[in-house]
Amino acid sequence: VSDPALLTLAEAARRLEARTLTSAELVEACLDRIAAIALGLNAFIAVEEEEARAAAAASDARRRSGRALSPLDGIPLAHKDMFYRRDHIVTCGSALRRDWRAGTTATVLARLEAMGTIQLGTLHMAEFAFGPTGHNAHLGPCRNPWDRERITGGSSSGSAAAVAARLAFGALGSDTGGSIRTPSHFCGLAGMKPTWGRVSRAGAMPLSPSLDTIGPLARTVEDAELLLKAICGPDPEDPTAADLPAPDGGGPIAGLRVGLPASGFEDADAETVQAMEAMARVLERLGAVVSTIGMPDIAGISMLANTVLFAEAASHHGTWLRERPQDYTPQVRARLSTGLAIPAPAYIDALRARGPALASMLDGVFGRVDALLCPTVAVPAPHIDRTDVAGSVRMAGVLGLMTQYTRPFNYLGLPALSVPAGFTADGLPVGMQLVGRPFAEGLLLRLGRAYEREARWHEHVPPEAR
Amino acid sequence: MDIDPETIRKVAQAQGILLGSEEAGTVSASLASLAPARRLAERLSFEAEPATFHAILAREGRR
Repeated sequence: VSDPALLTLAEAARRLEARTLTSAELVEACLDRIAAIALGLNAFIAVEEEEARAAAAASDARRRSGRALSPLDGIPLAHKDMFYRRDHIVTCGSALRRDWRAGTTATVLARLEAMGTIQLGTLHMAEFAFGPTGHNAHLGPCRNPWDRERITGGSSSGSAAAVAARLAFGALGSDTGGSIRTPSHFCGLAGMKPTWGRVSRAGAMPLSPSLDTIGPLARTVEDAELLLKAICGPDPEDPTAADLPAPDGGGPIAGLRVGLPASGFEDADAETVQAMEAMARVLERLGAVVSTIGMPDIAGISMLANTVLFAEAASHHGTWLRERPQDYTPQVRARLSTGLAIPAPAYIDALRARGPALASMLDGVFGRVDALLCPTVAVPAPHIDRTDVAGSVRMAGVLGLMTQYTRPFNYLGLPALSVPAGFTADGLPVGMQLVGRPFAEGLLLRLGRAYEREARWHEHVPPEAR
Repeated sequence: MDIDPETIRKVAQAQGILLGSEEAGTVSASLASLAPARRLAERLSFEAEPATFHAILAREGRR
């Protein structure tokens, strides 16, 4: 590979370790591409060139003296603009926080910084992470590197665009209803929504704390694993962060049981279904045991998730909705306002139903298979203009299509990995979810890595990024 | 759940938040889309409580 920006994160780390490449070279390669491509994609909110160059020089000095902080020391990343950094502006994709400076640093960013990774800048996102398309009326839409007239998906829109266009080696996103997996699907990336409680959320902008998770968007499953390992673990700042060993995606997949859903995913288009079946055949060839499995009421679970999401988001935004309603875009204000009219018993019912729904999923589905294989989204990336519904009455229908297959797993708290699983006849990426029991990220990564080694979809690069 | 736009405006207003009529219409449609949630909520036992979910997650973490 002549352009170091085209390496995967894992390959770049190996080259740094072997001293055949420097962090400065990686950072310059990314900054060159950012200068050439990023503006057209609208992927970045801010680029931090000088800070990144200084951090690369420091990293290279550490490597030369044998004091690298970690295997990721010197790797250039960029992150969704919702992770707090002390004294830095963190916009959350909003006008309300356009000039707001954080007083703390998010645990996930502190961990990545302690490992020596470099932040190239902050990335486009839906306003307050409350939108699944990549539209943001304050910032303009983020554009898909595979076709600039298509959406990236959201809310981690810039994370997906930047990583897919090879502007950064990986990115953090958040996933409350699909905000890592949906853009990963639309942009041809590996995206991991971890188990609720696997990764600390301290210092990350809240949307719906009962559902919020933080995870990586990456070029490969192997890269996603490296990033997830870097950010997971217990945290005194977030009592919900589990004290468990980091997931390990190594090992064979022979004998692992993979289930295809018998119901709940009927809206998926023909090419998406074909991609799912093709992926199942590859996993079967690699030794997995594939069967069809009965599913619970996915549509009902999906709307329980939305009940929780709308109610909690309205609570967090209540003061600003009263005092600064004009500073929201119409779509986000309308979505937040939905929570104002949800009766308290309906919200509490949605929380009470969560335990029985999870127990039923564990007994019914994960009592018979180790992982569920299903579409991430029913369709490939739609056109930007066809999804620009602002705050109209079409909003619930159009936006609902983006997250109907991802949202249920936020409600159930389950880990879900979206992996690149092919392309449509129009050349648009298609992703598939692997879903597992709570804290079974290692098993999902194992399946995903085995599949990607065989299928090699990650080697396809968007035309303008080659 | 079916709540008409005018009622939604009043509910929001009672919380100090003003909604336009179009916005209230969008909220009404959004609330109506939540209807499938009732299928599961109506099956809940009298004893079901939110903490059960967290207990199951904790148990799974120890597996």
